Amino acid sequence: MIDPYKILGVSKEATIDEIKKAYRKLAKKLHPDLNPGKDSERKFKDIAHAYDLIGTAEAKSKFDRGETDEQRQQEYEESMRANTRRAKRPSYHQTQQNTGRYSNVFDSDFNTQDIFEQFFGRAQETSKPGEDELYNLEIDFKEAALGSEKVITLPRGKKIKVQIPAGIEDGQKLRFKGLGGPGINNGPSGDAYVQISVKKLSGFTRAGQDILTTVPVSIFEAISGGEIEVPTIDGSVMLKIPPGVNNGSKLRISGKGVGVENYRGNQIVTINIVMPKQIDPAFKEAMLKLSNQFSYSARDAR
Amino acid sequence: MKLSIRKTIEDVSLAYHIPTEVIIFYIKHEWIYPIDRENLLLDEEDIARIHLINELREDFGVNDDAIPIILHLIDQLNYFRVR
Repeated sequence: MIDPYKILGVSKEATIDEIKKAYRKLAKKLHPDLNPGKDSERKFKDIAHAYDLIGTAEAKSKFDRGETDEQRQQEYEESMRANTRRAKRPSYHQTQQNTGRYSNVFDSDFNTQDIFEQFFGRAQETSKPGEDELYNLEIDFKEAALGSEKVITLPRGKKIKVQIPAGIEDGQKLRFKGLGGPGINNGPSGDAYVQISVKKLSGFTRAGQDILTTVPVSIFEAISGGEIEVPTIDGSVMLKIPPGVNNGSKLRISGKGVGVENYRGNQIVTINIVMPKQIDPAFKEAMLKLSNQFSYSARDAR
Repeated sequence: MKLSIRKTIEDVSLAYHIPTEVIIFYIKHEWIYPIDRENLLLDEEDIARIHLINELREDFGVNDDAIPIILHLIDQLNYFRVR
């Protein structure tokens, strides 16, 4: 049998108001949700029970007459024996111990972060998604044009296989969902982005599905035509030059452009007629003779 | 993954002698977020929190403006306790 007066620290003659005050004072000190501590839970139960016994005029007079609710007393003692948990009331902080909804997901209407900052000057308690991370991957011109597969290792050791689609442009980003920075407080992971930088390949540029190159030809080749060797991203091919090709003419090599097999664009070859480095007097003389014989106007409308 | 109880507001009201209006008042103030908002069902966390709010208001005489502040500080406290 417990003595509620002793527990609440009041005299038997105390008024209900005094008892209430005494209880509140103790409860503030001992409430397990406000005072984390081994003992507060048990002590709080004691004072709560004591208050139940004498907290109202009716209960107090009953208790003073010795008619205390036997059942309630028994129930209480049983629950104390069974475990430290008060049978009647589930303990709030115990519900929050593992995956408490309230303590993990904070109310968005009421800005806890601000309050927290006011008190502690920093905020780190909310659940946040991880940061997105950006990686750079340098690939060859040809890999970008035709596509490829690369395995890269992220800083946290995770290996990812990167499928590079044919025709990817310099600066394009590939997204890997959930492979970025880890989430804070069970927040989702961020995404990893792999930004592609395409290495330059001298003499080659891209225009959509086509690859542009320039091929130098001599004036003789330009006049006579013939087959000349032209580099493509698949290696050299022989390109037929029609006789009398003009400077700046564009010739097409089909299927040597950008894309997946059978759906590739073309390589567009621009003819660049190159003069001899030095004009030999004999060469000049020979050309003069030819020009007398085969003169044409280069400036007439054709 | 543990399964937790689901109780209607009426059930909780009967079991713990808390008027339904009080529970609805707490929900309206967003002090309580029922686990199942559509059907207004409460779980153990909700019920324990209702008791806590009752204690704060009735036993401690905390006014209603201060309730959400205290609840949030308690939630923070619990959060850090777990960590």
